[in-house]
Order: sequence, then structure tokens, then C-alpha cells
Amino acid sequence: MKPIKIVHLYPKEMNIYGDNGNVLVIKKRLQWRSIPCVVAACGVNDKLPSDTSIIIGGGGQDAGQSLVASDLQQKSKTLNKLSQDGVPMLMICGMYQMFGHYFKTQDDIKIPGIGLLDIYTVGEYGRLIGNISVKTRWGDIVGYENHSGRTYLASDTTKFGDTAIKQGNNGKDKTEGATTNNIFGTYMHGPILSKSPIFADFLIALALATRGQNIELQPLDDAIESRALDVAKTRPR
Amino acid sequence: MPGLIIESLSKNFVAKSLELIPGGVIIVTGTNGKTTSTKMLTHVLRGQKKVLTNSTGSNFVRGIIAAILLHSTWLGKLDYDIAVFELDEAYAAKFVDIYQPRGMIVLNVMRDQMDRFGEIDYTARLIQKAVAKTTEFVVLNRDDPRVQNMSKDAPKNIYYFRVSQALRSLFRNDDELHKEGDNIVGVGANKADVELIDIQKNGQIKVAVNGQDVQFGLSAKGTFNAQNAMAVLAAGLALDYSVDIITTRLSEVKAAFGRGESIKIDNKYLILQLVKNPSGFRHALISGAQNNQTVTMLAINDNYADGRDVSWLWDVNFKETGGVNGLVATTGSRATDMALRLKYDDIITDIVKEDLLVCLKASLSRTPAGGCLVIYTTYTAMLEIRKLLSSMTKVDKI
Repeated sequence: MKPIKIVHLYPKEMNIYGDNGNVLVIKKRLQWRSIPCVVAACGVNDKLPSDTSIIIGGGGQDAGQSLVASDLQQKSKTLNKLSQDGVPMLMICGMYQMFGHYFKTQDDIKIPGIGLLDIYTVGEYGRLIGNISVKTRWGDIVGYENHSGRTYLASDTTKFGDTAIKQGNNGKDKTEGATTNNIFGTYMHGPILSKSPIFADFLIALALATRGQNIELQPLDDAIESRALDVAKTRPR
Repeated sequence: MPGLIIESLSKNFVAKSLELIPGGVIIVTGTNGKTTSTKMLTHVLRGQKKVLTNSTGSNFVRGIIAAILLHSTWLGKLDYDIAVFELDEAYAAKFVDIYQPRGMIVLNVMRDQMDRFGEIDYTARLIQKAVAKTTEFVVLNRDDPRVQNMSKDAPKNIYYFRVSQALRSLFRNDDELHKEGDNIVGVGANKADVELIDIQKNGQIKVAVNGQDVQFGLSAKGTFNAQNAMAVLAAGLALDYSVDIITTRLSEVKAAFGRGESIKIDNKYLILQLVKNPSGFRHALISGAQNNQTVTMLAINDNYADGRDVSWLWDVNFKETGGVNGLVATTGSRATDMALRLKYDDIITDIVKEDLLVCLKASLSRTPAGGCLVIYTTYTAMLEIRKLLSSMTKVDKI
């Protein structure tokens, strides 16, 4: 089998809040199972590899976001094709927003996204900041959110999970994140995959499927992961 | 906290008091190195002058008011020649509205406590505002693009410090933290007044001052302290001190509390390294790696003053830096998160105990006589650890 290709989208521009850790988690959990993998950085002006198995994108600063906005439009067609093919994509915070239709800033400027997720985002004064716990089909997932944008889902778009009021997508409808095909968008930093090994392995299984491998993943010892999850749930917002 | 009461009583209090200091006020700001640099500059100036400083590490405007109150005569007169204040980014921006400083040192702008400030570009704008209101001179870091950018609003006397190309991979700015390997290219061939050329194992550093080579020793060990010394050297030049006097005084300064501070317990050596953000942690690990420790303890709290968000631990490469070795223990409210982070760098944690006292005792008991225990610790955990240690041995008061 060709090695699993983990594509790290915009590692130079979108890399704060520890989201690079998601790439490390996927890589290590493959290596611990002796499944060959390579990490490919894909930046501005780089072509997305056609043999991509999984794409990871992180949060960034406003400046980083505007640097990648127009380049992402160039990649939109390929990303759409990969998404149709079932390639899993995990997009955090800023990248999550840009996978939607648009981001309207506080000054009423509309920055177009690529619309692979049927969502839109409106900038507001006052950020949603703090520890967050979300109920999902992979169990409780914890993270840390920090965003001024409020994201709204189209009525037929699936939320990533349920959370409490005053946090998550928009602070109002108790939803967090969104998913379409195998694209998963969320506001959760942490990095999210570090304390949710079930979700991480779910993404790995999807990545293996792009290589035609539908194998059962060998279980790993996740005692520290689940203890860290329990601790995080007890911490103040 | 007397400062809190006075602050609300009189907004003019600070301005009126500081106007009486003939040499004006020098502000030290930036994300990392404020406390050490303030201590260094104060010591350099104290060779000839009476210096008012907020030496308690209380770096907010309140701390300055407390310093003024504590050091005023009963007639309200401040008998000082010059003042050196450490201020964090947000308070530096507030302070300049109250009183315009004569000089300012801007060390760096790194990711830190973003749950308070939001973004580092925003933090840079706060400092830029403070720089614009500085009257006489600023000292800027040539290797940090966000700091270098502040030159456009600065008063006309700008003094730059930087590190040599050979040292650049040790001193990465935030945008360079994620680059692999040693190929870090400097901002350019721009001139700097002070350049760090080399750090030797024996603590000697080599510096080019306006192109002239100078060599001297530093009691405050560690890569970051050497960079702080460059900023202070540049500030000394701005204040018309001779290179000789500055370097002699600099070499005498001991590490600030928790910044590579060494404490002896029985026959064991304990080194405290404060860590607050990815860049600072990286420097602490590089410096810590030189101690050949038998036990490494990592104390991670997530209280408000530490920052509630612990995701920054994933922006630090623990393997590459070699600063975690020997027996490994993690502690603090996020002890498990730290152990989890190490696991993904293939480092096994031997002891995970959230309780600081329990972990400290276990780590000390596993440190042999003559051995060294290195503790990397967040801010609130450090305060607690120093308190625990003071019941076991002599620890300097903060």
C-alpha cells in the first residue's frame, strides 16, 4: 500500500493555538500501528497532491487568514473533488470559517469562502473564549475556543455536536461545528484530536479507506488520553 | 494592595509623581524577558544613579503606583534620578496615556495569554501605540518582524539589537517556531547597533557593538538571558553609558526569580525555569538541556494568570530541544495534559501527580545527592513551588 498522505494545509500561515498537534496525533497513531505515512505541507501556491488521504487545517490570525483567502479559492475545485471522493478533512476555527460560504466582518466586508460547508459566518464584537465540551457521536469532545465570528448552519447541514448556550458556533443555538461528506469543521483547539482518540481513529479509518483499505484498527492504550479528557471537563471555562 | 486604592483616587497621581524624576522613565515591554531585562537595566544604571523600579515583578500600573508610594518621602517627594518599569503589552499602552516615557525597550511579540489579548497582531498594535508616545529613544529587536515594524512610529533615535545568522535557529520568532531544522534566515542584512555573536559553554558571550567585538561573562545563564542582555546593552548606549561600564555591570546580574534560578537543597541542585508560551518554553528547554539533570519535573497550571488554554504545549517540540531527560514527572492542574503531550513526542512520564507538593517530594526523593532536578513551571505553579521550597531551604524573597 502507498503510504497514507497527510496533507497539512497552510502550516506557515495557519498555525497558532497548537492545531499543528492534530497532524502529529494522526501521524503518531498511524506509526504506532506500523502503518506507513508521510506528512506533506501544502502552502500558498502549492498544488494539492492527487493522492491525498487526509487534510488538516488549523486556526490562524486575521492576517494569516487574509493571506490564504484568495489561494484557497484556487484550490476550491480540487478540494471539492477530494471531498466528493470521501477524503476526510479536519478544519479548525479560521479554516472552518473559510470552508463556508463567506465571512462578513464587523465592518460589513464580505470575504468569500469556498462553500464546501453550507454555513456562513458573521463577525461580532466580543469573542467566544474558553474551555468547551461538546457531545458528539464519538463521545464527549473537549477543546478551547477563541473566535469573534458567529457561524450559522443551513437547516439541512449537520452540526458537529451539541454544546451549551453562549459558546460553540454562534453562542445562541447550542450547536458546535459542521460536517458534510467527510469534512469536519469545528472551533475546537486543544488540539482537538489529542483528547479524542475515538474521533482521531475514525478519521484515520476514513483516510485508510481512500487507499482501499477497510481494516480494523489495532487498539492503542489511550489511558492518558481519557484521563486528560476527564480533567479538561472539570476545568473552569 | 495599596496601589489599587490610589489608582482609583487620582489619575494624575502617577504623572505628577513621575514628573519629579529628572532622568525620566524607561519602559521595558514585550512578551518574554521583561523581568530579567528590567533587573539588568536597573543594575547597570544603579552604578551611578538612584533608580526607581517595580522590582516585585508586579508589572501592572498598580505595581508602579505601589512602587511610587513605597519609595516616596513623607512629603511625597521621589528622591530618584531615573525610573525603569516593566510593563506588559496592554499596560504599556495604558501607561503612555498617563505619562510619556523617555525610552522604551521592546523585546519581542510572541504568542502569550491569547485568551486575554486575542491575537499577537493586536498585541503588537498595543505596543506600537506605546512606542509612538515615547519621547526620546526606543530599543527594538531586529529579529522579530512585528517589533521591527514599530520603527515607523518610533522617535528618531532607534537602537537595534539582533543575534548573528549562526544563532538564528536558537532564537526563532513565532513565525519560525514551526519550521523544521536549522535553516532560519534572518530578517536581512539590516544594521544593528548590538549583535550577539556567540554564547560559550562557560557563560562568556561575544558581542559586536557598532561593529567592535566585545567579550564578557553573564551570571544569568541561558540563551534568552543573553538576548535580554543585548537589549539592555543597546539601552545603555542610548543613555550614553560606555560599553565597558555596561558590560561590567551586566555580568554581575543574577537570574531573576524562576528564570533559570538555582536553589540548593541538601546536596541536590534544583533549577527553576518559568514557562509561559511556546517560544519561552523552547528557550527554557534549550537552556535546561545543559544541566544534565537526573530528574525533570514539568508543572503546568491553567489558572487565569497562566492562561486557561493549554493548547500551546503542542507548539513546543520537546524531543528536538533535549530539555526533558532523566526521570520525568508532571504536576499541576494540567499534569495529565503535559504527560499526554510528551507521549506524542515519544517521552514516557514516570510520575503524574496533580498535587505540587506530592510531586515535588517524589521528584526530590528520586534525585540523588549531587544530582540536579530541573523544574519547568507555569507562573502560578512557580509561586506555589517557591513557597513549598522556602519551608525546606533558603529561597530568596520575590
